[in-house]
Amino acid sequence: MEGSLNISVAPEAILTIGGIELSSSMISSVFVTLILFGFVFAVRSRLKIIPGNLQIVAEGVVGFFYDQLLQAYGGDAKKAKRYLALIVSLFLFIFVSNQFTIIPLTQSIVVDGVNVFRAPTSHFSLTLALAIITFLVSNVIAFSMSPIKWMGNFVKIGSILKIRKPADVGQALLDLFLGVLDIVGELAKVISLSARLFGNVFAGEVMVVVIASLSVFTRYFVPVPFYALGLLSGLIQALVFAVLSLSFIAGMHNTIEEAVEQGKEEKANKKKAMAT
Amino acid sequence: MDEALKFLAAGLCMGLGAFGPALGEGFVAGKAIEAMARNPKMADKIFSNMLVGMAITESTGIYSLVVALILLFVV
Repeated sequence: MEGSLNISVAPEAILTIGGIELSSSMISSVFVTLILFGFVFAVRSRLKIIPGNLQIVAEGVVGFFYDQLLQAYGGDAKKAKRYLALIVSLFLFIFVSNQFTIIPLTQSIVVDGVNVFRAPTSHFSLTLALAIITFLVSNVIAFSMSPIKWMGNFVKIGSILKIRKPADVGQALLDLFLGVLDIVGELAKVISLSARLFGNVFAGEVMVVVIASLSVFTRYFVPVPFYALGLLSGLIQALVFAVLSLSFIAGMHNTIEEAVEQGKEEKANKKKAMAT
Repeated sequence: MDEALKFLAAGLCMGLGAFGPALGEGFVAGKAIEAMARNPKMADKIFSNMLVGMAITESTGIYSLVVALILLFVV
């Protein structure tokens, strides 16, 4: 695989500043951020009651995710607005990063035989970081809502305390085992979110490179359909990442909230029973 | 020998790993088209949901792809 093909999973370092490597995908993610800033200011400066083209696009994206969030939180507008910014910025950042390589001329800037720009999401560290953000938002906020219920979600002590007769022991053990599975599932979410995005973007790039290096005839027009496929899958993967992280966050918070409310009801019932 | 085994492993990983997602995606597409034929008014919504479902179904295939790429280019 050496020679004409030049593929590496790790991004190439361009500069080293104080032991920290400044890699090609880091540089392009800075540019993605600048593009998004430009988009935001362009939309903000032209806000009107009768929307222009840019405003329609922006409103469409925000409206789509707002509807999804409303659905996920069961119509709670305050909560939906709280997480809207995070979800929409995840979507926009991943979308622009996936499409970064189609910006003309960016692929021709080469320093010391290394491309200066590379799609940021084809760097596993970046997708892993985004997935960890989702993981932390869902778990830390659930923890701050009710630490005991959050722990109880994974380590099911409640069912052990409820043992009244020998037949309950089996159920309690099963619950404990399911709790362990939940812990594994929560960690697997991080890996699956990040590996899905990374795999799609990186595979798209590798496919184009492999096809372009097959022979002289396949260099110019043959990769075009694969670029088109890359455009489509970049949009879909950004959408999937945003929608999945939305549902993880909302699902976690909803289970904790339900548990808290259930606990309150049980307490109220006990008080009633004591009073009568 | 090691090199040959590496390529064999990558090929097997991709070939076997593509099998499940292919079946799954076909199933998703078939069901979605069935639903669209039954209720053409909902076609847009079903289509976007189908794409999301397909992308999720695809993920196991993508994992094997990542493993195959790591076998080829990193190990």
